[in-house]
Amino acid sequence: MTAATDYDVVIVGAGAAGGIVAAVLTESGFHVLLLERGQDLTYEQIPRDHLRNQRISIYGHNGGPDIDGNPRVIVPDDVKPEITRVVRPHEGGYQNNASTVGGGTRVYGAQAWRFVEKDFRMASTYGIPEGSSLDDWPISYADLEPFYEQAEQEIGVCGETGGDKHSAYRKNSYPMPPVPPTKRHGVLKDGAEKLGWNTFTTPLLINSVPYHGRPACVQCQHCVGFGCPSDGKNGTHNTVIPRALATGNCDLQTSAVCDAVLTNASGTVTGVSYLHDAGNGPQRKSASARAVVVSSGAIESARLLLLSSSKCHPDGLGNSNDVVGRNLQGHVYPGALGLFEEPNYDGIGPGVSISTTQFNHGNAGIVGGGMLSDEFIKLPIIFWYRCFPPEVPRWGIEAKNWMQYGFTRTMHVIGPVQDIPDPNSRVTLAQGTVDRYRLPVAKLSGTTHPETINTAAFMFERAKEWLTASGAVKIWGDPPGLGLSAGQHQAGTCRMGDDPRTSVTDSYGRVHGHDNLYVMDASLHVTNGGFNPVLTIMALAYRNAANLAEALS
Amino acid sequence: MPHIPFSPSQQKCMIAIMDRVVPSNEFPSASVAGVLNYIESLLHMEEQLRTSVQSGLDAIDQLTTATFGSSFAEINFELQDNILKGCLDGRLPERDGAELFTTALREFAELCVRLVSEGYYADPGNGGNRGSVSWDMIGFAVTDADWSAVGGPK
Repeated sequence: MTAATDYDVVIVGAGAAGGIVAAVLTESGFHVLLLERGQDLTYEQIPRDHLRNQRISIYGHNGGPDIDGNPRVIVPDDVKPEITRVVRPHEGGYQNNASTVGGGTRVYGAQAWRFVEKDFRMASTYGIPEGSSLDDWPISYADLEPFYEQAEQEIGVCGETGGDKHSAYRKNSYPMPPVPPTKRHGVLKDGAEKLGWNTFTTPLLINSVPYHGRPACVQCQHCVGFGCPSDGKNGTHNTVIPRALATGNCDLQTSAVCDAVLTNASGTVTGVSYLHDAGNGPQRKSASARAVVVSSGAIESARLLLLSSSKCHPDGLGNSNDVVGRNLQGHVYPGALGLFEEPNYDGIGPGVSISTTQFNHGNAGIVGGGMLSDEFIKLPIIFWYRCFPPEVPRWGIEAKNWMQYGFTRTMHVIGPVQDIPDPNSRVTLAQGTVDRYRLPVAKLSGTTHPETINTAAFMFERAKEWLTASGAVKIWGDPPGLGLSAGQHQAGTCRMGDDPRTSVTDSYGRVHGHDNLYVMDASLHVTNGGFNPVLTIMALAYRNAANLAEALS
Repeated sequence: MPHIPFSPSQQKCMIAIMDRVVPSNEFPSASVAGVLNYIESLLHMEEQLRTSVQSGLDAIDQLTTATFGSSFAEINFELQDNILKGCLDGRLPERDGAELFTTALREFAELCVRLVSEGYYADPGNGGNRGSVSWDMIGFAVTDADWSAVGGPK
C-alpha cells in the first residue's frame, strides 16, 4: 500500500471533457482536484467585442488564453518545414480554443451531433488511403449510445427527434424540442425538397425551453464566439462543474498551469506539478493522486505528455512508440455563399437552424463526407471580411451598397467534412520557444491528408447545389485548400486503440503502459466524424469517467 | 483622453481617406459615424500600426502635392478616388524609386480600407459605428433582451 495521496484524481483541464469527468468522479464520492489554466469568466468578462472574440480575433479574443505568454510555433508551409513562425493565441495558425472554466463550451455554437456507426469504422468501410493513418475506433457507436443520451440529458440538448433520416439508432428522444425554424430554414428546406434531400432542425446544446433550472435561449445574435446572456447555452461551466463543486469533493483551481505529470523512480504516475498564479506571481505547487486525467484539448494534452519526460519515460509519457501528438486533426469547412432576391435574414439567433446529413457517407469515390447546415448569424464585420462576391470592390459606394443590400439576402451553407488523419500532422515540443513559465510550447506541423480536400471539394459542390435549388441568383466561394486542420475541433493526438504501436491509450482512455494515467478529451478520437465533435467528447468522457470510477473503487 | 496619434495634416488626410472608403449616401460617411475615433483609439494601443498609418498618410500627401500641388484632403473626390484606386491597383504616377513606393502605398491603402471598415461595421464599443448606424443600414438588430425576465445576464 502506498502512502495516502492528496486527491483520488487530478484532472488537468476544466473543458468539455474535464468538467464531466469531475462530476462523475465526485458524485461517486472521489476527491478531485480540477486544474484550469484559465479563469472562471463571468458573462461580463467575455465582451461582445466584434473585433476580439472567438469568431474573429483581429486584435485579441474574449475567452483566453492571454495573448502574451502563450505562444505556439507553426510551420506555415509543409514543403519547407524548416521555416517556422511564432504566433500568439489570436493570430492565424494558432488553432486556439477558449481557455476558461468550461473551455470551448463557454463560447461555442453548441451544435450537438452524435456521430453515426460508420464514423467509428472508417478504415473498415473505406480502406486506408495511402499515406493516411485512417483506422477504426476500438469501440462502436453502440458502446457510446447510452452516454450520448446521458450527455444530451445532463448537459441539455434540443433537437428534432426522428428528423435526421441518416442518424444512428437512438433509444430515447431529445430532452427538449427543437429551436423554432428561421426564415432561412424555410427557404433551404424548400430547396432540399426539390433535390430529394432530408433536412431537419440542427440539434443544439441550447435550452429551447427552460431546462434544469435555467432559462431558455433569448435568440440573440451573439451566440457562437460569445457568452450567453440568458445562460440558456449549455456548457460544462453551468451544468456538471457546478454539480461537482456542490458535492464538496471537488477543488477547482483556476489560473493553474500544469507543467508535468509526475512519476516516481519506477515510472509510475504519482500526481502533478503546476504553477498557480492568484494574481501575485506564480507559485509552484504539486498534488499527489491515485490517478491523473489529462483533459487539456488535443494540442495541450499532447504537449503535457511530451513535457512530462523522465528517466523512465525519456520521450514523454505514453510516447515510447512516438505516437503522442500525431494524427492531429480537426475539420476542414467547405462552404458556399448565395445571394437571394428577397431578404431572408430574420435575426433569430443562434442562426444555424437547418441541416442535412445526406452526404456524411455513401458518396461514390469519396472517403466519408460531411454534414451541411446554414451558418450562425454573422457579425456585420465578419460579413465585410468574408462575404463579398469576388467582383464587388471592398471600398467606396459599391462596397457600402453591397453591405446594405447583401447582408439580409446572403446565405452561407457550410459544414465540417470528416478529416482523413495524417501521421505527419502533429504536435511536438518547440525548440527554443517557451511560454510565460519557460516551458517549451507546442509546435504544429504538417497538413491534413489530401483525401480530406477531395471530400471538401465534393461537399463544396453540394453546398452550391443546395443554394441553387433554394433560389440563389448568384453563388460564390472557394473550396478549401490543403493545410493543417485543428482549430476548436482539434482531436486525434492521443488516439485510442488496442495496439500500443499505433495508439496512445486503450479503449477507456488509459495510457498504454500505465495503470493510473488517463487522457479524456478529443485527443482520443481516432477519427473526428463529419460533425461538430463536442457531444462525442462529452459522451466519451461520461463513459470513460464511469470506468475510472469503477477502477478506483 | 488618449494622445492623438495624428498631426493636424495627417488627421485631415485620414478623414478624407475614410470618407472615400465609406462615402456618404442616405447613411453617414465614415467620419460622421465616428471612425476617426475608432482609428485613433486603435492606434493608441497598436504601436506598429500607428507607425504604418502615420508614414502612409505623409506619403499620400507627398504624392498628391507632387502631382496636383495640393494635399489629399484638398483635391476633389474624383481625384481622391483615382489616387486610392491607383494605390490599391499598384498604378501610380511615375516617380523615382517607384517600385518600393508603390508597394508601400498599396499596403497602406489596403490597411486604410480594412481599418475604416472595421470602425464603420464593428460594435460601437470600439469607438466607431456611432449609434449603431451601420447596423441600422444593413438590418442587423441586436436583441435587447429583458434579461431580468429570464434571470439576468450570467
